[in-house]
Amino acid sequence: MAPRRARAAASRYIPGRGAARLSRRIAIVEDDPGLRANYADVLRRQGYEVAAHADRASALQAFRSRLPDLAILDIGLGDEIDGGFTLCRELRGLSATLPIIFLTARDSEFDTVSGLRLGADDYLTKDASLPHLLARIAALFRRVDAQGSDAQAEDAIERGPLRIDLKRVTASWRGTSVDLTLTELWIVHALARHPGHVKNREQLMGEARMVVDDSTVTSHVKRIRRKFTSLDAGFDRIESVYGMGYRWREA
Amino acid sequence: MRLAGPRLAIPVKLALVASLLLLIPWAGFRYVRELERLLLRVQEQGLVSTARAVATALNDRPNVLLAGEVYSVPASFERDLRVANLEKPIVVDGRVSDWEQPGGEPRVESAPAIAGEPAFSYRYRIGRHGTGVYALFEVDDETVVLRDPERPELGASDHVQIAVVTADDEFLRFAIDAPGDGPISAWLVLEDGSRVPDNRIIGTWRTTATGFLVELRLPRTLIGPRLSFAVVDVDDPETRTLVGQLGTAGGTSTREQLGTVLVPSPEISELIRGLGRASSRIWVVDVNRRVLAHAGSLRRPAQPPPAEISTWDRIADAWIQPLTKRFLDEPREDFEDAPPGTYKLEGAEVVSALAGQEATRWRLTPDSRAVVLSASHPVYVGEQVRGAVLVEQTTNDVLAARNREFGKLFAAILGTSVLGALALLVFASRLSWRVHRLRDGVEQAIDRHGRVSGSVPGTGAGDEIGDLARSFAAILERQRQYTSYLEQVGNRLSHEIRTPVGVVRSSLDNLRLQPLPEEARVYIERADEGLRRLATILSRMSEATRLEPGLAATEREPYDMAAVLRGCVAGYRQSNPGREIRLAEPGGPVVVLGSPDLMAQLADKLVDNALGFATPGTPVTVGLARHGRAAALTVENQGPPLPEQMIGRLFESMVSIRPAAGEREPHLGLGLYIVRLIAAFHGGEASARDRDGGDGVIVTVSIPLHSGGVEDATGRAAAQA
Repeated sequence: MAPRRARAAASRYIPGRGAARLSRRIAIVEDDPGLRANYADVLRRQGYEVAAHADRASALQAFRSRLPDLAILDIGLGDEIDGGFTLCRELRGLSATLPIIFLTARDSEFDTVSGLRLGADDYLTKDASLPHLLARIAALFRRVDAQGSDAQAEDAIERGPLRIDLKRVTASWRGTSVDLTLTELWIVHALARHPGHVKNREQLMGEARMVVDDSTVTSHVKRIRRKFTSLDAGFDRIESVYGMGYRWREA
Repeated sequence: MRLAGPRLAIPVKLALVASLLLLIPWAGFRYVRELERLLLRVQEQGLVSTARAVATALNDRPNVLLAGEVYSVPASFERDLRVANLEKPIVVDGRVSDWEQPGGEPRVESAPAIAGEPAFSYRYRIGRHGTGVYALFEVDDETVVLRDPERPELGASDHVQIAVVTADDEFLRFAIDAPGDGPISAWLVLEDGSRVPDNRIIGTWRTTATGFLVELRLPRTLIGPRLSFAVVDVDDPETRTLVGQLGTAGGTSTREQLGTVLVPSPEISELIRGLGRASSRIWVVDVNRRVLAHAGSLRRPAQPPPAEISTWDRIADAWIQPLTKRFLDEPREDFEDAPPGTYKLEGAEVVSALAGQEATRWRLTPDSRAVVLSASHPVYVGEQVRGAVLVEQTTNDVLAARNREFGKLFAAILGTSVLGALALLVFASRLSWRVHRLRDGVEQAIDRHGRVSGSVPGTGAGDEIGDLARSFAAILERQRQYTSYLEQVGNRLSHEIRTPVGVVRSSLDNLRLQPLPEEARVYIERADEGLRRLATILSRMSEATRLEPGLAATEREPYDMAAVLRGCVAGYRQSNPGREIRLAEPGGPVVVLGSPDLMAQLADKLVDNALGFATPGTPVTVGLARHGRAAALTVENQGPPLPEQMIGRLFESMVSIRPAAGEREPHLGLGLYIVRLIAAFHGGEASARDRDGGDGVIVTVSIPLHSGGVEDATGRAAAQA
């Protein structure tokens, strides 16, 4: 995913600041009409422009004529079991930087990993509450905005080689950007904010604004570790405290 | 599943059935017996034919049999004097050596000792050759008194008396004495007692160590139907009184005292010798059952050993013969037989033949060692029975043939039976092995939790067992699908329900953003609470099924179970204030191979269960111990015992024993199922039982210890942390 980020400057979409919020356009591709309408309503009420699609074909057609600023995709679309995955791949082909969130009923590890591999920025189950969803959308837009500006980050923490910029929604390890999803970033942030303090799973879930079970937290932590160790084989800062949770270890 | 009663394996049953094959040797034995009976009948017929043939050859040839008077005189066997036909000539020289030939055997006459006097006996031999009849007397006499020229009268010395009735019916008496050793001639004794020399009878006198010896030659023509000899002993040379007289018949004084003389014609002997066969004997008797001639022997000539002994024969000799001997009599040639000098035949078949009726007879030899078969046939002269032919043979030939056949048959049957039995055994063993393999395969295909984990062997075979295996495989496949369906149903349900839950949740969230009266917010909160519980149910339902594919991708690493449990228990104490959670652990690390995260998840489930079931105020004890090569994690709580019918199923998916009512938290019965999955991932297993005393439950998870060192584990853990 790192090369994709590098191409950000080449992106067609260059957001403006300030008035951007009013002009944000969010596409929802969801086959359940009730859910689709609810999401659309709440997003409109938040001031976003919403384009709702029921299936992959109509969504793709609309995307080809005009790309949204953010896409929320369901995986199962009507008869297409993996229609969301296909659409995600196609959307990535149209834009490398467009934020994509999977919002789906499917919560298996396999689906999560598949979705994130296809270039989604986050993967939520439909248990997620609307405020959580809105927080994520806002954070993702913030990240997009930050990439276009040169402004010095204010809301950032540094823990040794780790640097988390909440404003830009990015993390780096020894100066190298770590490609974390929003959920992962929030988990790392929650741990690193108070090094040495054990955060249990419930706390991490709260910080990451998600409603999942313990084992999902475990697999998130596993993925986070893997991402760090791929940059630095000696990475051992996230420590498991069995039966209690995790903590960030100072070097 | 064992059935009551005796349990016979297939090979045993087949062996029982195959034992019917033993009837084949028995039938063979019966067959050989039948064959023997037939052979004996054939032999009987053969003997009858032989007897008839011999009799036919003798029919109407009176001169070949005997002179006429013999037939009319009633036989008084004591007086019979048989004259054998000698093959070799006799030289009248006083030597015994030329008598050593068939028919020249000595016969003994003896008289018991009279008071004061020694016993008196002599041996004599009599035979015919050519035109002469020869006789030799060996007399035991301590004092030989020779003829004294001074006292020449008859009776004054040792002498031999001969009385004959000639063919012309003339009664003649002769006396032979001698003045010393040398050639002698006889005296013809006239009716008045006087004597004249007679040269028809000549001989030799010789004094021997034990007495004297007289050898005589009589012309054949002189001898008619009757003849008697007598030896007269005189011991005192002075008184010359007669001490003893011993003769072959009643006496020599009168015609009536004489015995019958039997001089078989040489033709009979020639004839039957020609007809005689190996191992059979032919007798010819006259009407008085006197033996006129016989030829042959009952004993079979010794079989020369075959020049070439085949391997088969050697095997037969070594293995078959001892077996056949157990069932069948071996023919033997050392049986007791009638002595060669037998003079009169007594058998019923002889009597029958002399009555004009041919007959056969079976008899045992006196020592019961052999069976003799005899056939008789009358001999006719004109219309009158003048004799009989008796042919005898032992059944040894037939027995030998029978034994030989039985041996061959037995060997063949034994060979085929052994081969057949072996083939059956091999077949049955293979069949049994296949059934066993199928049984084991089916038993192992389903583990004790009812999951289909293997495949059924032998489904490729084309026979009934193959059909059985295939149908088992089909049943197992259906079972597997059903189990899989049961395990997936939670996941599917949660998946299907999640979307409508999302609708409800988003609707509520939308609603909350609307301006609502305060009293309406209460209902939104309640709906929210219900939704939260629903979401918990959904995540728990899919937890187990989500875990399984995750397990396959999880790497196993050595870690210290004790450390994980310490952390977990600390966490439980923190999150369950007011509950007592004890930890009993052995000193030192307990290293196992697996995933510490999963172990923590397992402990979560067990402790959560234990806390849920524990009687309020009682502690929950988490224990860790080493048992041999395994680590045993136990979680123990006081409380209600396990329901008996559930014990075997506790660790299955969606089995719960919690009371449904009064629970805030939903329970789907997936906790122990997850425990089982994680235990299996660690190569171990989980079990639950009541505490001793039944006032609680102990769940035990035993996991094999990692063989690698602690250093390895801690090293890896450090690197990972």
